[in-house]
Amino acid sequence: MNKNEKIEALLQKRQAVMLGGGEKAIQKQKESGKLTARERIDLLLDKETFNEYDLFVQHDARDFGMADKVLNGDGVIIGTGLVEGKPVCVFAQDFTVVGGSLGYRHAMKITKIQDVAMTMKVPCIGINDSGGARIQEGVGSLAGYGDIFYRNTQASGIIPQISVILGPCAGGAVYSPALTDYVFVVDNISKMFITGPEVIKTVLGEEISQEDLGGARVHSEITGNAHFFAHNEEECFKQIRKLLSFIPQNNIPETEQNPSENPALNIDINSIVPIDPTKPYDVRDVIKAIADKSDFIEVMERFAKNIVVGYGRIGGKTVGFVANQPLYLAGVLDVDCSDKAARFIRYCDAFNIPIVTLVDLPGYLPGIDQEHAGVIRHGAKVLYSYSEATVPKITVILRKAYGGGYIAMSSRHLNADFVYAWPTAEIAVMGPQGAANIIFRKEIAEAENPDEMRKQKVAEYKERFANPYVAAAKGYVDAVIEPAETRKMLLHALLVCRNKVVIKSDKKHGIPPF
Amino acid sequence: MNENNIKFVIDDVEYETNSIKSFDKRKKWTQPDDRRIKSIIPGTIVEVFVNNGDEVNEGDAMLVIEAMKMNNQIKFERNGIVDKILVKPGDIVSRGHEMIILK
Repeated sequence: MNKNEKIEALLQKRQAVMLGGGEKAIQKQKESGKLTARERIDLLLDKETFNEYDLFVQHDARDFGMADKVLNGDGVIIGTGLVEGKPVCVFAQDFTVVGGSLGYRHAMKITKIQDVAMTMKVPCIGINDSGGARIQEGVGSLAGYGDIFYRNTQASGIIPQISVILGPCAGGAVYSPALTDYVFVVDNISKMFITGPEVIKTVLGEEISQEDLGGARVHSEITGNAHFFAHNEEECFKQIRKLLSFIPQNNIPETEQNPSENPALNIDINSIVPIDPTKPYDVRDVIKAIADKSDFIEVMERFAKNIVVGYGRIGGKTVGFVANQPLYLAGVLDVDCSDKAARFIRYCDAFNIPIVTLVDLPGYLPGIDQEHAGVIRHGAKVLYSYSEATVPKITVILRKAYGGGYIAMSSRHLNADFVYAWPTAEIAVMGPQGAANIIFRKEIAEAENPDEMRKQKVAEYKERFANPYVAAAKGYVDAVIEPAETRKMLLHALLVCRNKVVIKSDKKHGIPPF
Repeated sequence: MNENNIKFVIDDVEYETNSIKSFDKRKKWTQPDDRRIKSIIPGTIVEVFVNNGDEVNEGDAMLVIEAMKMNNQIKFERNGIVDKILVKPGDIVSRGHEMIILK
């Protein structure tokens, strides 16, 4: 063979392997409404920036007739590429090759690219589409999963890790996504569960479809396992690219920032929040009135909607917004939204993203179900994560901030850097009605007209305590500001916080109330 | 406001707001009753050791349930008299399924 022939042979070899499971299997993949692993990588990355590694890796399984089987790429594609010009590591399981099943070499390819991501400090994106462990490889495939989980954990808080579920992801396989930072799911395509419908049917006699057991909607609305929901794969990859445009490449503090741009002008921040604390509004409108270009990407939009978390920019720099959402459950803190907020806060802290907290909540949600679901330990996560966070923490109290909820939402007492309040803020131990009923119980009971007396006492309490000035008088609020001043104040506060350094104690790590 | 509008009261204040799925699905609490013995694990009943009217003591064998590929012998956790037996060998029970009621 001369040189040209050798090159030609390489190209042919490459082409053959790149077909994965072959035309027929690709056809089947398409018929099931899914894109191929290679199409997915193309959607994720900037045009023609993908560089593949380990194309020619083969399994070395010998049992159960595996010795004669050639599995192209061993069912997974790995490589590096660019997203908006920034490098990322990618792996994509290829369902057309023995159902994307995970054997030991398949896993070694994944851990290899995880190691590259860790060494180069770039995000790692995993596209999951796999029937699970390759049973023929026995404990070898279990070892493979374990190796991946270990790396997921080691990389946590150092590089962003993103899991995209584009097919089945069952059994042990679910735990890699669960250990990563962001899980993306697509309607009718993603399926995640520990034990599938067949096992449930044999053990319990209960019938349920894969979709109802662990489909995209289930995980984005009920379990909270997924962070982003898309209607199709194209939308999903757009979401990933957008998220990557907001979050840093790693946990090394960066100086890079986008140019500052004003929010869209059509939002009048003064008119968003009704003065009556019992009236709802969409807190995302406040975020959009503050953020550069009114651009905001919400994380876990469909889960625990009573709190809103997500990324925007202020003055060109990414911030994490945490905001009570009066539109749902009056914005209370409960088990689910505490989990959601706490994890987001810890992510921001790990990746040096300043946190802007917008407060409007009546407190923690009362109820037997909440108490029994552990609202004490889950609610404690919010206190823990805010207290632990050393990134700039800036709080704006928009309206009601009652009781434990006030403390939890990045109050001065949990070491917020700057706390602002709008004139509509009501910072008090509880709402005026409840407080008056307790404090003036005797007067109300003994009055000739208890209802009249109650009304009078509630009004008195409102007048004296349901405002930001009691807290401001104690220095718990740094400034009472006009809503229209909010962006200006935040820009300034972030600038002042730019050099913030907190020397952490030398403990190994805390014991958060997981 | 949409159709999920709910009456939501915290500390005597009624808020105008919407519900969410998990709030709608929350389980109603019922007073636990240790005379009503429920399965703690999903599985198949293999054998029942007691009959109606039997006097049983704490620690007595009640039944065997096959779950997770193991035969689990379930014992009584209190004394009592068997009032009703709601399962028989071969029955598949889910977690929380009522199996035996004591008087």
